[in-house]
Amino acid sequence: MSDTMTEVSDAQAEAYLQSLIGPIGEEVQTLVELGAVRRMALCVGDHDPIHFDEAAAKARGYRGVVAPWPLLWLYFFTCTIYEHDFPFGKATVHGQDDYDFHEPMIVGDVLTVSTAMVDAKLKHGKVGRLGQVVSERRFTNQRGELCAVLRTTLFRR
Amino acid sequence: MSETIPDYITPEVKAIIGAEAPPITARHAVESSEVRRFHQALIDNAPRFWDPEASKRYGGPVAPMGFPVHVFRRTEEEPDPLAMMDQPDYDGVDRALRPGLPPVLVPLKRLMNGGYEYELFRHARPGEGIVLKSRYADIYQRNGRTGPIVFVVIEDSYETGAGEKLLRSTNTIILR
Amino acid sequence: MGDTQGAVFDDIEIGQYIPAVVKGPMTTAHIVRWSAAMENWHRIHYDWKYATEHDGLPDVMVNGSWKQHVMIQLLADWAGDTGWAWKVAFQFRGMNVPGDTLTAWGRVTGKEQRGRFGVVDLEIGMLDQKGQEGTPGTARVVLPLRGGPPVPYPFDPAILDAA
Repeated sequence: MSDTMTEVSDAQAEAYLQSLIGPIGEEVQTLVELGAVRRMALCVGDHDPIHFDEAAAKARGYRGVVAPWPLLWLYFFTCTIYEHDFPFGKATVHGQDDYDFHEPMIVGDVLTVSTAMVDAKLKHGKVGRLGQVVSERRFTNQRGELCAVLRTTLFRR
Repeated sequence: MSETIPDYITPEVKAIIGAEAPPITARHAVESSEVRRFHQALIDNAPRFWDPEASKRYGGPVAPMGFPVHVFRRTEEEPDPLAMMDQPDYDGVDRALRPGLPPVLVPLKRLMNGGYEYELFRHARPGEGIVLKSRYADIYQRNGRTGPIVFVVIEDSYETGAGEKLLRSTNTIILR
Repeated sequence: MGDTQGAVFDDIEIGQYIPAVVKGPMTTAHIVRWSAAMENWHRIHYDWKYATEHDGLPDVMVNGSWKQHVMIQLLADWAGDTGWAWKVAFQFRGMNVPGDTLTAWGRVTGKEQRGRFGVVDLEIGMLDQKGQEGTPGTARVVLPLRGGPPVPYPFDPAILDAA
């Protein structure tokens, strides 16, 4: 691999990755808005009336209009820190996401979003040295109920 | 013989001059996140759009003055405008220029915004509904060097859900 | 932070320019951000191949809708929280493309005291970096008199006819 890789030793890279583990930024609160819910549902082509119509949602047992789960990505980008500096490598690529879904997010809910780095390790693959970090975002509603957990894996190479 | 210039102001087009749309209410109230998206995209960070202290004159943070013009978004009943993007001649614009007004059926492919006259009264605020009343004030043709041009003049009146005047606009759309 | 004191009628002289608003250089990203916020799918704003090959345009186009709000910003910034940008009209004559830097400008063409307030007429426009005018128009702004009350909000034109 390139010479720039050698400027930071494996031990230094490992230590840097370990230092990332822990909370990232402050907790952020965000309101689940009807327009944002509608826009996301139309964008992903989900025409289930529970995303548009309060009566339809209540008839199905929900507290109100239900957010489609991809709306998590609006809050990912507008409420959380998602870029990290690495002292090694050239590019950061998005590798994988895992979701846990719990309580539905309902229009009018105030979500608390907390972010933490939960795993970070250095790997050696065919293409050379690779940093792997996993960040976790937890979405909790104003009733204290966990709505979702989103784990995002990034690779630094 | 000189070339014949087609007259696009057909009886069908003439018939919709003066047509009024029924009042249309935006599907959801003004939201803080869309106000933020709007003023950021406008590259206008005036405190009246986000700072409760700097917006006391307006009763709290407000949307940019022209914001109501853009809140009548696609509804779930309407077809996906992107579904036709595989057609090479589709320009992405619905010929129904305002919700509730009939389309202007002329075989001209290019649409340009010819300009606006605004009269401004009050900012919309997050939480308020927005109601639009539109009418075709005029539709006429001029024949330019490049061929016929059709002008569509639309009058729009925007109010809050409670009936307070926000703004009035006269918009000229150019089809050529 | 409280209300911003805007222009005062007594200070205004016919022929004077108001502070300009400069935006740019514009990029395709700025155009796409506006189009997405508006949910405006007009292809000339983001589909370079369509804009240049199908419509024969030099590049993707800066949105006319974006320019009109810049013109309103020009007037609102000048009026501050004590005046009111009442009327604004403009035409979209120029085409602006990524790389352009746009300067919204206004020049006072007339002034008249009406009731306890002042009405100022302006010509307005938006120049590109080559000095070409693309958005000519006119505007009318209501300002407070020196020592007088701010323009009431919401704006009601009837205040101009009151004694």
